[in-house]
Amino acid sequence: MELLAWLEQTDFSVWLRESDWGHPIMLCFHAVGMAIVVGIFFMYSARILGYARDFPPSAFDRLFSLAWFGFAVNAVSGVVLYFGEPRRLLATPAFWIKMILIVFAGLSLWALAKALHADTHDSVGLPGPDGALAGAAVVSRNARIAVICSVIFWLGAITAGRLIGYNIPPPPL
Amino acid sequence: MTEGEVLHWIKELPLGAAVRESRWLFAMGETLHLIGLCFMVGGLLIVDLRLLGFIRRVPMRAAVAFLPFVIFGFLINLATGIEFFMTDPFMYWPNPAFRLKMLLILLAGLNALMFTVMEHRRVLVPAGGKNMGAYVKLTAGPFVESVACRHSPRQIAAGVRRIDEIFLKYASICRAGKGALFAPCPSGSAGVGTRSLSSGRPKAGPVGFAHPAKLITRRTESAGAMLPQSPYRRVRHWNDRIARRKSILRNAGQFTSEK
Repeated sequence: MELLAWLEQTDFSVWLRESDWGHPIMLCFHAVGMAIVVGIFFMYSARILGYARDFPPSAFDRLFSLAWFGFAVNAVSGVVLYFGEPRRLLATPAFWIKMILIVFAGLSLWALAKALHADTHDSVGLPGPDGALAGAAVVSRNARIAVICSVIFWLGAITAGRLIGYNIPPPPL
Repeated sequence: MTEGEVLHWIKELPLGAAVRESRWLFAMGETLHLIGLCFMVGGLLIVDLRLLGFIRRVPMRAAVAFLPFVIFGFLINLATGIEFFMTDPFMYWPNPAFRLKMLLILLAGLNALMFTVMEHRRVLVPAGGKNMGAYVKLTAGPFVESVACRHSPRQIAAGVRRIDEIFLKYASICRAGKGALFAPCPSGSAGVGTRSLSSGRPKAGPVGFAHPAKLITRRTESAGAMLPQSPYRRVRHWNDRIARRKSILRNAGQFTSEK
């Protein structure tokens, strides 16, 4: 806690809180990164759930590299935003909910990757370079559940992230 | 009605009052605004990156199929944005950032409209989406598209093959010229050098003092097997295909003639 109090009193943290530009600019980066990560993921989940079937799913590999870039932007800007008000954020439930939801979203993406991998390897006789997902092939129930869970987690993370801004003021130093 | 009166009228509409009184409506609107942004950016990334040639093996039609998400996200953002504006028009209206944002959205809308009118159909017609006009590149982003996107692989291969042929011709001219000028064949000197001393068979190679042009025709006539492998993978690929086609035709011809 002393460390956080010290962090809150550094010049950088004060600048982030009190200057006209520090916080808004970081928030802009955070929003743009979010749009890239979640936007690409939403489109991917739409594809998994059966939208635009002639879109080869493996083409998302390149888009995912872009999504990772967006995630890096968000990680950096998120850490910087945290430096602005470390004690208030730790005391804010929405912050913790957001972090937990992001972890859950990551876990469900991992489960999705596993389910899709199982799909491609279990299914024999599905033609095409994209394995089980080629053409009108059906995605397994597990993959669908993982995708839907992940979408819900991301939506929840966005909501919680927005609510961080509405929460209690920081405790006095 | 003056500007202030209009803003005041907007502010007094029931929706704005409801949002101002509620504790949650504004926050929910902001959340929805962010979610709509995600839908919009996600769909736009796919469409624009395809137009730019970033994910070229995706059929154009499949990429453009994601446009409804963009429209869906935009409608969410339009509705929630109107909600924000109605809560406090006097705060938003004079704000330069708000005006800049509206201007940029207007430009983006005009851009999308021009794309729809001018290029949409043209992009969708060729299956691979190879022939994309200048406006596509301008609308899809500030990146300069490579030559490879404007020409089909076949066109490129043909062009490179033509360059290869020209290069080979010049190379043979140079070689022939060199042989003719600096190492004249000794055929003129009473046949001393034309036959090898050991076997007595005629030596291979050009006999006499040939004009370079004739050498070229002779070389290109017998070309085929003499063509060295091209350093370009695409050219090798197309040369192979052409050779295969030729051999198939030749075999077919033999077959029919034998019959």
